Amino acid sequence: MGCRSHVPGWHKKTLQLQKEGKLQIVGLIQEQHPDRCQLFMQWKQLDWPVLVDSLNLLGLSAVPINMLVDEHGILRSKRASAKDLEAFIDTNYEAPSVNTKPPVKLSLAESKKRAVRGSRNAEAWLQYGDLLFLNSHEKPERLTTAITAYNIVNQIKDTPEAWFRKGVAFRRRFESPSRQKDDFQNAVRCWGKALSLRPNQYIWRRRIQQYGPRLQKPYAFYDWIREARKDIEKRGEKPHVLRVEPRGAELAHPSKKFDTKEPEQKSPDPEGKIKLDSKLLIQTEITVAPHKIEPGKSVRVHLNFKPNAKQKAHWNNEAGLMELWVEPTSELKVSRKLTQFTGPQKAISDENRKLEFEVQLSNDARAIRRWELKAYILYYVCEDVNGICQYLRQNITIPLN
Amino acid sequence: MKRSTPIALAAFSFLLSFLPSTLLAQSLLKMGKPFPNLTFQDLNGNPVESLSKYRGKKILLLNFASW
Repeated sequence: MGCRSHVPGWHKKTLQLQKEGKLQIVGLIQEQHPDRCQLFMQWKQLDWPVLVDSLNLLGLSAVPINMLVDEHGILRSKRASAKDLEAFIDTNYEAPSVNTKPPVKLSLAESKKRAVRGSRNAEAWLQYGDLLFLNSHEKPERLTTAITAYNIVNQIKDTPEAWFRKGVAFRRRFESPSRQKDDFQNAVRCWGKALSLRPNQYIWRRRIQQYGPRLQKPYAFYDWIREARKDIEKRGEKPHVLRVEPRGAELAHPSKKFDTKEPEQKSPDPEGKIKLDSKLLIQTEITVAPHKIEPGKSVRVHLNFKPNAKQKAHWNNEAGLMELWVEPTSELKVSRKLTQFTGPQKAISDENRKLEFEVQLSNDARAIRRWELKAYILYYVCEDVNGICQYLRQNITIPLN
Repeated sequence: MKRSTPIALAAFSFLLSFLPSTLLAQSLLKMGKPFPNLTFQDLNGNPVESLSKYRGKKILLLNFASW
């Protein structure tokens, strides 16, 4: 909540200085998704330039933080108050005696050359990975090479920054046309590893919490978006369209107790009579955030179901609902056992279907044991456009640590 | 014990010398020194230089997240 009032507050406070040309505001955001900030800027009617630091290159471990940089590019305050700003504006800073002209930057090709030449130079590989990521907007396939570069950094030396940045690259690739299986889970795993090496890194912790369970959330991350869109439309403007719509965990409000719903519901196929999807017409991807469950703690399970494109499979929406049944053992509690999913209005479709739920491990469970959750999904699916349509079952095992 | 301290310090400095500067991210921000000349992304995801284009202006840098 801090940032939402902090930023417009400082904008308002300095409006006169901005108008008089005495001050330039620049935003620097610590988020995975730059365009969500674009919507925020539109909502709050902020028009100054914004830099996006999804990789956390600056190494900030908390937000919001104000910094002051003078007319010669010299950092004058790392945590500026209103009083500091006043003094900053009134001071005429002398040009530094040494040349502060920024050094020449390496191109992507030069950076690659440097990394390959000094094959054990972790810094060179890290910079190459960063450059690939920063230049991946039009070429998402570069994210794959960035992930490889970060892997090499960690082979040379286990580096928390490389783990975090690799997680950011995995998640970015997950939302790109270059997406590969388990990208989301790999992102969560890398962030978890980075955080285990540097537990006080608040920005990194937030990245996991964004997709994690309600018990461990500090706030609902993107619940402001609905209100923002309403306000923008009221002004007669069209809200900025997001590339990836936040959902599930990203909108869920924190909770102090583990909520379970409809505990009395019954398994729709207790004896396993529904035919198994032996051809895997529906492909399942599982992500658990954080990636390890601990006694007394909870995790959020993200399931993604997609008709197998190679087999031209598609959902049959006319026949009935898709259902997920989760069967926890006595040590595990789930937020809901039965989840029903309604498809779109059209008769057939091939969209990704996403379901989320939460799991809690009891306090007295043993941390060292391997924990997993059994579930199954029932769905109506067709093979090819004019192929056979069937009602099938897929058994799922969800690893929790 | 008296001898081991300088040896340990030397070993520590030796180990530190292998740590690349950008890996020690916090050290990038030094008071009274130029703001790091890094490349970030703009809101459309394109690469953009940090603050070099604002030379001659006093800057209030607001570090934040929309959440």
